[in-house]
Amino acid sequence: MHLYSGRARTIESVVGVLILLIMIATAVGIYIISRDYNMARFGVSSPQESQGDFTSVGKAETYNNDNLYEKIDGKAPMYQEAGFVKLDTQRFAAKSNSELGFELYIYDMNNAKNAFSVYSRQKRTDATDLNDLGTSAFGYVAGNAICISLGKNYIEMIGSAESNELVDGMKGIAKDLSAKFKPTDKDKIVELGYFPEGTVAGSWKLQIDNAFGFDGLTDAYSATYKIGGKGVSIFFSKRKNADEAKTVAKNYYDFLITNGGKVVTVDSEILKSAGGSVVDFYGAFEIVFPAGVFVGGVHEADNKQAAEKGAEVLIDQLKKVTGEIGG
Amino acid sequence: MADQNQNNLGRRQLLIRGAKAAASIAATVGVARWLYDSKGPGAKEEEAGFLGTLAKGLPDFSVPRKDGQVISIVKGENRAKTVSKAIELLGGIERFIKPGDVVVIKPNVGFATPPILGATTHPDVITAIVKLCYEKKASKVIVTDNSINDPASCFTISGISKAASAAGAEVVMPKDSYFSPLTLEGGSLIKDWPVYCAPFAKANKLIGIAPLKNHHRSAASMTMKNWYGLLGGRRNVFHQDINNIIAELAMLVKPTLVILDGTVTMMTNGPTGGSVSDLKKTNTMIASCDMVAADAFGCSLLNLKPADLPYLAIAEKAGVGTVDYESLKPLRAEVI
Amino acid sequence: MKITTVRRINQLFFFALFVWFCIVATVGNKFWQIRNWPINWILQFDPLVALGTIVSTRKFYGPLHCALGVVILTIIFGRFFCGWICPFGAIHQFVGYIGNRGKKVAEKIRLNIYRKAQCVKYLILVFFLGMAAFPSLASSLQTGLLDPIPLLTRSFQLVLLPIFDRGAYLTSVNARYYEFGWLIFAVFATAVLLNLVIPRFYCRFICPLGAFLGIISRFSIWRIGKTKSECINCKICEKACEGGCEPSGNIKIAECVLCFNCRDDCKHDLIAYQTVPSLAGETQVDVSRRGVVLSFVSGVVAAPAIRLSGKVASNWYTGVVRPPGALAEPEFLKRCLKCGQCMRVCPTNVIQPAGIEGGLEGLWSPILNNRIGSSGCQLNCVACGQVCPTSAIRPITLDEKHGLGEFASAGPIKLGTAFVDQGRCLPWSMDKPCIVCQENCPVSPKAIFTKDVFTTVRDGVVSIKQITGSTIEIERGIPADKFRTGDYYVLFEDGSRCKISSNTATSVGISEGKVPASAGKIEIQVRLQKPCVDIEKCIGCGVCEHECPVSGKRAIRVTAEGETRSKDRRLLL
Repeated sequence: MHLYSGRARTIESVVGVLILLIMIATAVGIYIISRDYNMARFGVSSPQESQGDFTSVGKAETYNNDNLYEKIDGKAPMYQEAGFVKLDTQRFAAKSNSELGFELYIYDMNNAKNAFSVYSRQKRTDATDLNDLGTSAFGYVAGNAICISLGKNYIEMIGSAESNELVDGMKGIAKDLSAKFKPTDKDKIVELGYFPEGTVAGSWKLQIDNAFGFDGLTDAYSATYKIGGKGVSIFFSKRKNADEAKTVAKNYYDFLITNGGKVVTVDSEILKSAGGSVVDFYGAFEIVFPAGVFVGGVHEADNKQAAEKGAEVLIDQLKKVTGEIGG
Repeated sequence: MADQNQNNLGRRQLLIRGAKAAASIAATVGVARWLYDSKGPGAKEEEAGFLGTLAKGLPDFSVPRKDGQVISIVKGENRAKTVSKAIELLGGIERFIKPGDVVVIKPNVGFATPPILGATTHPDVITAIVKLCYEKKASKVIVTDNSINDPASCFTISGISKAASAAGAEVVMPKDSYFSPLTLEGGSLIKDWPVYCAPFAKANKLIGIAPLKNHHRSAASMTMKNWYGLLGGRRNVFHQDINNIIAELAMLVKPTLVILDGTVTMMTNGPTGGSVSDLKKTNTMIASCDMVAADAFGCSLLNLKPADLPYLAIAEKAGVGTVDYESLKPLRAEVI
Repeated sequence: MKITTVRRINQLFFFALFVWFCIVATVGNKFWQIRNWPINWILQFDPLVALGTIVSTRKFYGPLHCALGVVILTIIFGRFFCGWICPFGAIHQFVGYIGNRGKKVAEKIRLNIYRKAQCVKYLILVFFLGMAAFPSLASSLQTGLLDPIPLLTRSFQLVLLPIFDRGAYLTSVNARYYEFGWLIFAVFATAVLLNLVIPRFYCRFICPLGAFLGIISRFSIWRIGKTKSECINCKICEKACEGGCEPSGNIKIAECVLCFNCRDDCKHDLIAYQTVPSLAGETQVDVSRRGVVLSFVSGVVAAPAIRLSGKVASNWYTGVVRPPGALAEPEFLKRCLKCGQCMRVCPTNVIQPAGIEGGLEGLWSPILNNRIGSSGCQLNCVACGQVCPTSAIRPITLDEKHGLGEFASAGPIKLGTAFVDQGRCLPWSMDKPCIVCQENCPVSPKAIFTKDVFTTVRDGVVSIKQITGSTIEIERGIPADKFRTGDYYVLFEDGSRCKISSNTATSVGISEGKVPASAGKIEIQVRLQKPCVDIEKCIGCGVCEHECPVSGKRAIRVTAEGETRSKDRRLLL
């Protein structure tokens, strides 16, 4: 039974409420302070190197021909044979969720053809093409990764997870990068325009040398050509002149036969008159022919008829191109 | 009435207490502001020694130069006689010591070895110099060095303690507190490094007395290398760059006079020696106002050329002295 | 609303805040990670932290300015910190309450009487201040051993959190280890369990912070006291007295923690928080001048006595490798509270509470142990300095750590130097190829380089029986398949050498190079890359030591030689 006056009780309550209010204000204040952070002070990242919704993590690293293997180990020779100059890498983490991030690889490949070559040869089969990167730029999304061929640079962004949020963020950065490393006219790979109509866009491959295992076949462009819903792989390589094209075609044919290929009769008249041959190479059909200044052919077709059909279209096309560019 | 008194008393007590509380707060805030340190400690937060930090460098102890009286070379076996003669040739002790001077003598007391091994400054030279100083009414003569081995045994076994005390000098052993971090302007090695400063704080003259020795790292240890004893800390790190540290020490220290005792020269196995067979009688005493010249001459007693000692050239370039001692016209004499 | 209710809410709030700050001390930017939570806030407004560092360094370190507010409020209102804010006090109060719940009122009153021994905490305070007061003798800040906030921080961060987070790993990636955690726990548990003997035992008898606040509350304007000199003397006011300050009689204001329980419990409303002293009179705490002087002098003498070990001088222990940015040892010991924040925040768990290897005074101070944790000191991390409340570890930037930009002339911060123990190193002493340390060195260019040598393996000289192509058949049996790893070579008598690509018990196959025509004997050699440390490049991060496959006593170990924080430990010019 308390006898304190009403006044004393009022003061007690008022003081109590005031203290609680101060306490709440403190809590709110601390929360507000906590939201304004800069992780760079812990050395975790530096904001000036942020990219869109991502901040860089750790240091940027550069690799050259001597130490490229430290970063990509066994894959190094592939880049080095294609004219590799240097590789810059940097990790990034999403600002919203540091668990999500990607590593950016920028390979300087010296020129656009080299870059396109390593790009096209590694292109994933389940890739979705990125078509908004501008002219002479190629790119695709494959699961967690985005790969781009951009002028002399081949760029990979390897995401830490297969997340739509992350891929969308990386797509944004891909666009930024395509603006930053905008390809010039000389980076245009004109040969890609030589493929006949019906070629699957984005299926191009460029092998700088040693194409299909034959070291005499250099700068070979290949692509998938659609015939009746099926695809055959057609290829061509531009030579100095028609004579050289004939020699290379003959050498490639010999290479196939030497390594166990069986000669098959040619059904197509067009192919026959072009001097082409069909070889059964361990169950797959290989076609090779000279056409103008080009060596052309079909690679690893499982249907002879479709292969010859594709060859016919390609012969026609390559002769036309030879006429256009002069040879 | 009683309540009234009670109230007044309470109010007065409150006022007094309030005033004390206010004073406490004011004092707290005052102290806090006075000691406030917003930046926090820097990269080089070090405890200052007992004596605090000595400003920059050591004082300049040198006396005005007199051409033709820079270096003297006296032949003879008797150290007391040769050193007196050598100083006499340079103009006599009165040129160097004035009445009331506080003189520091820096011998080489690096090792706890007897005088016979020649690894340390010979006590006879100390005796002679201390006596000369007191003859000219020096108020105090201090003999000190920062020995490599235990200082007490070095000073005792080398005979220097006894010789100095007998002649009336004060022997000062090194203590941690005698070292202050010091930076040599224009130097690259002596940077914020503990240097044996305290004994020089009140001195106005400095005489270095060095034996002439072969040295494993620096080829020869003479008057310039003698200043190595002023370095504190873990000075052996400087052995990695011995020539530059010797040159920098010569830039740091500006002595009144240096004595190079070549009566007996340690020809091999320096700087410790250990056998009398390392020694050779060369019967030469050098007194010099120019350390570089003294050491350059000293080379000849070790069968070396000045070019064999890179620190001589470095020091000459820094303006410490002259390698070509003959150009200084050394004063020569012989005493029997 | 009753003021005691408000107090309990307040205590709960600050306890929760304290625990929250412990939880979020994890490097990361999620809301439950560190980002900008002021995790040192409670340490920073602990007045004993401020007082201790002021006494030892003669400086009032900026971030501790909050403590000034607590001091001023204490001078005006009394020891509100103990009763309202201190999270350790809240624990004691709670445990004391639980432990004495069922007891009779008379028993409770007896537990809360004022005891003469309550003066001990003042003596502890004076002793610690004495240890810190004279840098010229030896100044060592040891308040953190018993200061409740560092003590509790240490206990939560290094013991309770790792225990309760075991398995869940919310506050760390892997299980955390703290070598002297058991001792920290023992102190904490003892302090808590003593409440079962006497409630708030720690606060009443030990706490040096309470002692300091008690001293400065002497002139407080408002104070608890009786409004009448006489009462029925039921002593019910002492039933729940937290401070043991005797409100029923001559109250000891310095012991009162402003719990207001006496005011609440008095059936006659004779106790108030008022500007006049208790009408029943006040008395001072029974602290003898002699005791104070003796404690202070003991402290002053204790500091240099501890230093007699030489552990802060020439006898420094090489294993005391401090975190990056740590001050030189004497200055470090003037500031380190042993609060454990650096050890908690360290992402790799490499920072550990020391034992007494660095001297008695270094107990629980941070040292690096590369055998514990997920790696050595990370190249791109400066978190420890960022969370140090007293700047014993300076808040450095990455640039300073790496010696870049404006710090280029100073060079990188070295924690120590890695030394190869050639007697334990596989390539140095056992002819086994291994370059793990070199591969893991994070410094660029690498501070570990290798000396490549070819050595004939044990019993490696064998006679050739026959050579067929690239296969050499030999006379004597050798272990099959042992030499095909790419590290082994055949040395022929003409001095040429070929790599071994395969081997059976009686033959070796060569992959590179030509087999000489005439060859009587061959030597099987191993190519060894013997690691060497470039002491100009090595920063002492300890990654090599952590990774060394000689997993017990490592074959490459970092010790403090060459650390940049102290000149006398440098190895190079």
